[in-house]
Amino acid sequence: MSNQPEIQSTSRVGDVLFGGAAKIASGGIVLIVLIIGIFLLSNAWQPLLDNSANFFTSTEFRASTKPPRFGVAALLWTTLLTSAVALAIAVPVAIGLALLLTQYVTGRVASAIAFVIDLLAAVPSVIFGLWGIKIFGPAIQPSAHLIENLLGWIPLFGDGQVASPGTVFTASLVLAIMILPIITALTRDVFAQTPRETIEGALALGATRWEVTRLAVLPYGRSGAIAAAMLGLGRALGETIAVMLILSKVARFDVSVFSGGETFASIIARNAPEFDTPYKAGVYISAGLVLFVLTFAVNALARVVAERGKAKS
Amino acid sequence: MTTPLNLRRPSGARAFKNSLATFGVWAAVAIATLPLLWILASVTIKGAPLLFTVGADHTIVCVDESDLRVPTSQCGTEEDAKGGTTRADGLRWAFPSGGKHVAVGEKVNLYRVDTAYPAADHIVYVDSDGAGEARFFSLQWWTSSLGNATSKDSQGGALQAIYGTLLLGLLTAAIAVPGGMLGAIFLVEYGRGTRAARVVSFMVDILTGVPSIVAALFVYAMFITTFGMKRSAIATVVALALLMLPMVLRSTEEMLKLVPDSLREAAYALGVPKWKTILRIVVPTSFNGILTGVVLGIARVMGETAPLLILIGYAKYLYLDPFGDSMGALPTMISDGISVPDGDAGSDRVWAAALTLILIVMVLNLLARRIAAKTKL
Repeated sequence: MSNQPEIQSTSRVGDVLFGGAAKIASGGIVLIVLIIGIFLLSNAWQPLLDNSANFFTSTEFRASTKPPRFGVAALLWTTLLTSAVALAIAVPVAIGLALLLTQYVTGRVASAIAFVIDLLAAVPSVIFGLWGIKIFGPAIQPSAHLIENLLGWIPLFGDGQVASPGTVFTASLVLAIMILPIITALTRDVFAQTPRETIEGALALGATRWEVTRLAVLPYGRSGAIAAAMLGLGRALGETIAVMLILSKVARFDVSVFSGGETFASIIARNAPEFDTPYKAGVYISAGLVLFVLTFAVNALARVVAERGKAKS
Repeated sequence: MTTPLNLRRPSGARAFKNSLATFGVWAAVAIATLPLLWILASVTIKGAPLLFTVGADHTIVCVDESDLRVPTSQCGTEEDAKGGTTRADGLRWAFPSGGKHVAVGEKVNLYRVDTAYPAADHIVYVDSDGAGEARFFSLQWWTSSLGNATSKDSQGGALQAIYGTLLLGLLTAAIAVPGGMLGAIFLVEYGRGTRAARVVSFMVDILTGVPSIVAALFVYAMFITTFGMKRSAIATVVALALLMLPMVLRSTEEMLKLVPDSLREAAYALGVPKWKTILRIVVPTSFNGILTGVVLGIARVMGETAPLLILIGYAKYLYLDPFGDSMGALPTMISDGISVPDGDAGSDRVWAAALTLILIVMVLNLLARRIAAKTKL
């Protein structure tokens, strides 16, 4: 519209104001992400300097001692373990659901199933935590004991000295249910975009429905599904209250999935009442900083994978 | 592909694989549906009674004017006894409308109650050992706050938590909706295709992925450590707004993109300025879609717990002031009472709070679906 300056000039003030507000709001969003990192770092800085334990290899986390002794090794292990187990369970189920919704059913059945998944996504995480520790955890205890008895010789499945159902195992299964809807929704969107011709071509060649899926749908949606899984991973890494309610504290760090422990998010939330001085809060903010960097990296990577997938297709 | 497929006739192995895959995808539905039903069922069964009743561990004895026992169905309720004056033996008397006299007592011998207070039309005898249970219809859950009820007391409602949850949701929307909408308008209307829009879009993705606990820590680091403010509902709202902003922005962006360019061009052709086109044509056309996103966003932040744990104290009393340092909320009511042993009144309250929260969130979600169904696009 650059060749109609007189029409534009009638509205300059309004456009400058409104467009300016839109730009400021957007600039603010960019700024927020940057200052989140800056504020977390500046608050964690002094405790990190005073830390008398190795920040990356120590499994201790003591904010009250002088100087503080804290390291993220145990937190990192528990966080990654819960998220990895959750992802290992949620991704196949989510892909199955996405395939069902795009390739197997249509119309009313599909929208009914999609509705169920939407409702699952709407359940607040604190309720997942409550249900996980009071109902679901006790219910799966027998199978946990079975795995422990069969595979107990592997340290990962060893006896974690936790009597309650508040184990990494329970937390992982609940996390898997929690991240299922988001992975399903994103994967479904990608699978739904599989070119019609590819599918019909395969069908015309006499392929079964599974072969259509394997030859046409899955290769097409692979990068999208990976990106969806990584976004789910980002969710699982940062999930706070459900994990906090489920995991029980342990005296000594143990690698087993049948042990308790703390994730980055849960240790911060559990100790929030202890934030009486900025210094003590800073110790926990250092854990938050690591979590921020971790989720930032996972989400940025997910976006790169998704973009690359888009460019290829 | 190393071996070419024999595509002429599905052999046994191919047919078997196909049915296996079909079985697999349907099994996935079962895996997704079962937890939802399980959660909804357990929360409803354990939480529903408290939403409409009050009282537990009561044995009720009623007498009429001639000190004769009458069926408990003719008893007054404990509500009737409210506001009575204290008498000896810890008995409280009340004279509710209708001229019936009610006494409520604790640890009092049954016969002594009967004989010592013959004037009572109804005597509600509170059994000290907790044997026997009676529930009265009451909306106390919705009308009174928890107050000083301990985990063993069956009295007290959740008004303070319901108020806090609703207030936090609305205040958060008041910040996040304008911000998110302006951001979306920038991305779609002003900055489409520019480098700035790509940077903003990337940052929105990152903000979407920021865990709620990190958003809360950031607000703590900025407002409380650096600026020396106190924990407050307002600080919580800022953290929640950080979580809601990208949700509103993305859903608004999707909706604005759906508005056909022909509408915009028609407005421009009539000489309508761009800002007016956006406010009068583009936004109204996609209004239902935007509203859907907003309602879903509010439902999401109402269930958030982590920012509340860090940025505000949990209160059992109703505090209306959003600048105060504590306020109840349903998620923190749940996490506060999680360690109460099963069977205690406090444990019932946790489930009732969970049911209340689920009801609020589900109602908002269904509302959002209704609005979305009406969209003009």
